Amino acid sequence: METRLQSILSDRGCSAADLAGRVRKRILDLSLTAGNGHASSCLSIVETLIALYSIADPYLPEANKDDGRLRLILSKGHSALSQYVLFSELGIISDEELRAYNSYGSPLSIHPQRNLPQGIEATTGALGHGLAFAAGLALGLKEKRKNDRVAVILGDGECQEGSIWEAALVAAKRKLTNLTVILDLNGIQSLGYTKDIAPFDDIGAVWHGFGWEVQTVDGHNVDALKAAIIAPSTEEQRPRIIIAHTIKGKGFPMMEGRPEWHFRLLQPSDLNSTPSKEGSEL
Amino acid sequence: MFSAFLSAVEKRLADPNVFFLNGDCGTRDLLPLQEKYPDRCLNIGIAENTLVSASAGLAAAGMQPIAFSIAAFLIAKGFEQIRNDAVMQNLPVVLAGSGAGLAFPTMGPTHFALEDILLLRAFDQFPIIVPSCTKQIEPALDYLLDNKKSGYIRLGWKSEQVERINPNFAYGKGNIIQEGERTALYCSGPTLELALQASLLSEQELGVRPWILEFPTVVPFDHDLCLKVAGQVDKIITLEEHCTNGGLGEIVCSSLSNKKDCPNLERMGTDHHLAYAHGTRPQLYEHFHMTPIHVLECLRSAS
Repeated sequence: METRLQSILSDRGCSAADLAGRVRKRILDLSLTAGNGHASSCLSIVETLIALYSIADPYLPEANKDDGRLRLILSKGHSALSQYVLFSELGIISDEELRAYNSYGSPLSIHPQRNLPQGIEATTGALGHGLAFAAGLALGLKEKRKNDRVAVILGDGECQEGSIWEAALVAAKRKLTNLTVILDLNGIQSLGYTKDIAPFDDIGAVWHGFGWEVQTVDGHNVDALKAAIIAPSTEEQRPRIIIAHTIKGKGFPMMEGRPEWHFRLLQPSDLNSTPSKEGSEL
Repeated sequence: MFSAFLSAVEKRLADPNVFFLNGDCGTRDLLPLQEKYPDRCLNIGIAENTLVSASAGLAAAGMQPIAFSIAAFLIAKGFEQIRNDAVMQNLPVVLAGSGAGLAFPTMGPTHFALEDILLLRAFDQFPIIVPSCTKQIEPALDYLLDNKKSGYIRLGWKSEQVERINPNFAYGKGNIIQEGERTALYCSGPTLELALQASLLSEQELGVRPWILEFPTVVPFDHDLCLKVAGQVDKIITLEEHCTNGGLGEIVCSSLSNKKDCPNLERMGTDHHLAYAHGTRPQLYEHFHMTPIHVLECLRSAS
């Protein structure tokens, strides 16, 4: 069955790349108007979100709530604006609600708050919580024989949190094959490059050593991401992690790969002087 | 106390929605239960952060998790997970901590849970249950699960298999263990034993029988009972295996704060507990100046 995202692409006659560009432009516009200092982190996960919601729908009020949906735990909660914008494209969040992003009284804060009618499955923001929460969720759904998929988007800096590795062990031991992690490997954290702060020699080998099936993809290629998410298991009974190589700030050249943009607020002149490469196509 | 808890858990595991997650704590008495319920009675390893977060995730899947570990580790290491994943998202998780207070007296201060109530009181009306006897455990667990509430059950350990004179448990209610005159001892959990011993001394030495009130539900607190007895005495002493900041003593303080003509209040607890100490429980009561003699001296000043 087509997901809502696929239907929208068909109806509009546009590609996933077109949608990614449109989402990026709206992320930048909203970051400017609402004062979100995490735009570059939001830009690196756009294709991941599109791939995930091409495979399964998020919570939709009119759908069967309890079976078959994608329960995404955005463990790197500072990228929530990407999810809000995509949900606006899917009609889950209205334009008016999206415009109120980051304003007092709006449920759409910079870090997401559990809010099922607007598709948000968990409150996140303090790093290192999402994987363990998702493991519990996956365990419960498995016990209930539900077909929901549980996905987690982790940051690479976030993997410095010890709680990630507690949860990685538990998920592997409990054979949570209904759990998929996408690691947004953009190589940058708050104050610099991850390689200069607390790097892993070979993060894929580390996850494999923790009992996970590991795949590595170009995190800006929707088709590659989708294929990795739905591919048959090569290592039976292991949860899967997809290491998505991404560029922080993707699509906005002055931001791409530059640590100083982790928190920096956009100024109007930034958008005027350097238009979004991909957004400008729309 | 652990075996009574385990027995209460076993009854609840008959419900296919109940999970028991254990942070590699307890006794080997747990093993048959793990064999009986291999999918829902799980030792997840020494991982308090994940113990709490995964429990919240289970609650998000519509399950009813009980998260169990050593009290000192569960509440302090799991604090942000309790805050963000359970409380903030209104996902009901039952926390059960063993060895709370001074129940692991020989283990040294890393194993004492003497600020757990203080930490959890940061969350408005997060239920905190401190059983004084084994018979209070099952109704406490049942209450939280039946009402789909989060809450903390503060357990002792094996040596406290005591079935006391008044095992009542009614959520939010204190128990009058004995009526008295002029003075009152307010206690929770294991300090009921101290109160009973101190009361005997008081009767012998001072000829005064103090009231004894026990509060198995520390939060929500039975303010009505607290104030009712406070209006009849000159002095209240609170007794707790917890620092006097943020525990029973401070709750009683706040209860009395709007009362005219307050009785004198003395709080006895385990202050300065981070200084190194270990020994038998009576030795530690001596260390913290909370023996029956210390209580007697305090009562003497009111007589």
